[in-house]
Amino acid sequence: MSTSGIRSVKGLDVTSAFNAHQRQWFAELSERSVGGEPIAIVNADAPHEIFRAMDIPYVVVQWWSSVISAKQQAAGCLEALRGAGYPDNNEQYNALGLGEALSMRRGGAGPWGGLPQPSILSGIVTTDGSSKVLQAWSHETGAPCFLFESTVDGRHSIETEWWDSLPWEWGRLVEPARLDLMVAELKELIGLLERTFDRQFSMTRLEEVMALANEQLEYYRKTRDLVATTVPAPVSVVDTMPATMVPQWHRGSVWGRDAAKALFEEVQARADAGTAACPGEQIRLMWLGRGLWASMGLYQYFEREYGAVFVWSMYLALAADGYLRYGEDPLRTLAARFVPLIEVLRMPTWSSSWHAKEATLHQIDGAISLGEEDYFSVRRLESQGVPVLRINANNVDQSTWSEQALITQISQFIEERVRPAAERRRGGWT
Amino acid sequence: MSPRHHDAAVRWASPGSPVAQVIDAEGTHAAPPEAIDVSTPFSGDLETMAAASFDPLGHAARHAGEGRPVVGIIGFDVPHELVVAAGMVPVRLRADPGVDPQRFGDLSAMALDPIATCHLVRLLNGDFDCLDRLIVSHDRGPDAKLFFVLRELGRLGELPERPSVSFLDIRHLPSHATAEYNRTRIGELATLLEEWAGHPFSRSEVVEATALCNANRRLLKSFQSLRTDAQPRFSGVDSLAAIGAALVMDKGEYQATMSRLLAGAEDRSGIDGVRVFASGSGAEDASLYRAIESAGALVVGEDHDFGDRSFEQLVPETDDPLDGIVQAYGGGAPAASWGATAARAEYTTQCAGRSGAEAVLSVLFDHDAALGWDRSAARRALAEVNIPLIEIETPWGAPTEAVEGLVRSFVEGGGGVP
Repeated sequence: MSTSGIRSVKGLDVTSAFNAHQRQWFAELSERSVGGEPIAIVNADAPHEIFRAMDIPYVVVQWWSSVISAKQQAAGCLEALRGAGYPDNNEQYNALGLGEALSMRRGGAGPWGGLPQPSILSGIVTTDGSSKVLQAWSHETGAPCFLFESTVDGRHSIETEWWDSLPWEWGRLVEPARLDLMVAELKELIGLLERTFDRQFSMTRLEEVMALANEQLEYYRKTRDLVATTVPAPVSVVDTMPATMVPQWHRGSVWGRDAAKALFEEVQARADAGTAACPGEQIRLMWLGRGLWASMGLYQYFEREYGAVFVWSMYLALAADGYLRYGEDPLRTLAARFVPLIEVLRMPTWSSSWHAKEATLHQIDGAISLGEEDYFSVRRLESQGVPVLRINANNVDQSTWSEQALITQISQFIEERVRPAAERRRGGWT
Repeated sequence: MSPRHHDAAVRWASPGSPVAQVIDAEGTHAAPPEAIDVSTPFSGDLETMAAASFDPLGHAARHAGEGRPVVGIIGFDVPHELVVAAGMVPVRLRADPGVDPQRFGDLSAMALDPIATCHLVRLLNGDFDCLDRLIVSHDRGPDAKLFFVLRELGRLGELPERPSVSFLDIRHLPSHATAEYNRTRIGELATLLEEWAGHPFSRSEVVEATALCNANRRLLKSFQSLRTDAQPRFSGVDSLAAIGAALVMDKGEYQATMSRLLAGAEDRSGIDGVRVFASGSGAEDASLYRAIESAGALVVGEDHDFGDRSFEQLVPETDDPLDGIVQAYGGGAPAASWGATAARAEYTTQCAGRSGAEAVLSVLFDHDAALGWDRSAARRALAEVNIPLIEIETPWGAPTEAVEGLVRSFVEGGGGVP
C-alpha cells in the first residue's frame, strides 16, 4: 500500500486560479454556514440548478471526496466510517464526506476546515447503496434528505449515437414518463426548499441559470474538440480534470461560465502557439473511470518515461457531451439533463459507443480503465485497435491500489501493447 | 456474565471465511436443542413445492411441455396477477450457486453481482429455452444492469432466440409522483402482455387472477402462523420451499397443494430449535438455511424477498384492478435493496418480535455489501427490544460449515464466536 501521492505539475494558469477561487469560495461558504445560512450537500448527479436558482449554496459530495483524497485523508475517513459501524468497502466515493463528519466529531480535522454542517442532502438513487449513504448521513447530521428516483428506459431498442441529438432532441431520446416523474420531483424539491429555508423560487431565475449552464457547457465542447484534434495535445488530464470539475460544480453561475471560457481560451492559445503538455508526445492515452486524486502526478510519470499523455478523461468529455440541453420549459429541460446522465457513463449501449467515438476523435492509442463497468467498452475499443488495460481498484481507497503497482502495470502495458499501436497510428499519417 | 449473555462486538474473521459479529443483547433461551435433521428429504406436498421452488426452470419446462406459455421473472416487482390474467404461467427464477460464472469467460467487467451473473450465464447457455418470455424488474440495482447487458447483447446479436427479454421499472420512493410513474409502467406491462397473449384481457380476468393470488397469500399467512406457533410445524427450509413455490407453480395448482399441506399440518410433530429470524440477503437457495438449522437454530421468519414480504400484503381489490397492483408492488414492506434504512430497521424488528425470534441473524452475502449501510439502524432498533443480532458476512455459495459453526456457538450459548 502506498499513500505517498505523486504530485502533479499543472500546466495551465487557469487550473491554479480555479483552485484558488475554490478555496476562497469554500471559506465564504463556511462563513455563511456559521452565519446560519442553509448549505446543501448534493451528489454530482443531483439537479444542482434548482439550488443555484434559489441561492442555496451547495457542496458536491464527489468533489469533496476528491479533496479529501488529494489531501491523503481518505483512509482516515474510511476508518471513521468503520468505527461508527458503517461499511468501508463500498460506496467509498460517496461516503468519504460522511466519514469526515464522523471523524471531526471525534476531534479529527477535515481539509480546509472541514465540510459545513449540511442543512439538506440530495441525490438520485443510482445504486442500492447510494441512497443508503445519504440516509446514514441524514441520520448522523439531522439534515433532511431529498431523493430522486433513478428510472430506466426499458425499450428494446435505443439509439447508440446519442451525443449529437441529445442536447436538442431529448424529447425523443428520453421517455416522457421518466421526464414527468423528475419534473414532479423537482417541483416537490422546490416546495420543500421554499418551506424549509424561506426562499422564493423564480422560473425566470432558473431560465437564467440554464442559459448560463449551456454557455459553460458549450465552451467545454469546444475545449474537448480542441484537445482531441491537436497533436501534440496542448493539455493533459492533469489540468483538464480539475479545471473542468471545479467550475462544473458552479454550473449555471457567471463565474462557472467565465471559467469555462477562460479554460478554452488558454487551451486555444497553447494550441496556436504549439505548446504541448508533453513536447515529445508519442502516445495518446485515455483514462476510463474516476480520477486518481491522491496521485495526480502519476499521470505525468508516463509522459516522462514514454512520451505518453493522458489526453482523455470523462470529466471534460462528459461536460462536453453529457449535460447540454436546450428547451423552452426549464424544469423539463433540467429533468432531461439528469434523467439519462448516468446512462451516458454506465449503460453499455450508450457508454461503449461513446467511448469508441471519443477514442477515435482523440486519436487514442491505448486506454487504462480503473474500477469501471467497462465490459462492452473494452470490446469496442479493442475491436477498433485500441488496447485496454483493466485495473480492478477504487480510486479513493488506497487499500485497493498502490502507485508502484500502477506504474509497473501501466508501463508494461504501454511497452507491450500501446507503443506498437501508437507506432502504427503515427506511421499511418506519414 | 451468564453463558447466555453474548459479548458485544465479538468479531472473527479469516481469509475466505465468513465474518461474524454478535451484538450485545440480553437474549436468553432454553437449553440448546437437538439439531434439526435437515438431511431428511422433503415428502408429499412439500416435496412438490421444494421441487418447484428450488428448480424453477425444471418446473417451467414441465409447463412448457404441457403447451403452456411460460414467462420467466427475475425480481420481485413483476405482478404475477397480470401474467396469469394473460393466460401465461409466471415463474420466478432463482439463481443457482452451482453455475460456473466463468462459463462464458470473465464477465466481471459487466459489474453484475453473482446473482445476475448466474441468470446471464444460464440464459446464454440456453437453459432459459423453456421460457417464452423473460421479464426483468428493477427492485435490485444489479438486475437493472443485467437488463442493460441483455439489451446490448441482443443488439449485437449475441443472445439466444428464446426467450425474448423485457424490463419493468417499478420505483419505490413513497411519493405520489412515483406512484403515477408506476401506474404508467404497469399499464405498459398490461399492454405488452396482451400483445403476447394475442388478445386483450378483461377487467374480470385481472380481478380473478388477483383474487387467486391473494388466496394463495392468505394460505401462506396460515402457513406462517404454523411456522411461528409455540410448536412450529415447519422449518425454515420447509418455508423456503413453500413460499418460493408460490412464485413458481401454477396458481391454482399451488392453492390445492398448499391447502392439502395445511390440512395435514396438525399431524406434523413440532420442531425444536432456537428461534432465529433471518435478515438481509435473499436466500436464493436453501444451503444457508440448512446450515443454520443443522446447528440447532430454527428460522421462524425472514425479511428478505423469499419470505414474509412476498405474501403478507394482499393486492387491494380496487375498482380498476391495475390501481391495486400499483399500490401493492410499488409499496409494500421495505425490501433490503430499496427500503429506507429506518423503515427496514422497524420492519425487521417488528417481524422478528412477531415471530418470537430469540435472535436476528443478519446475513450479508459479499455482493450485497451495500445493505451493510442498514445495519447500524438495525443494531439500534434491535437493542431497544433486547433481541440479539448476529451478523454474518460471507460469499454467496461459499461452503457453509463456518456459518454452521458460528450459529452452533450461539445456540450452545457460549457467547463467544470461535
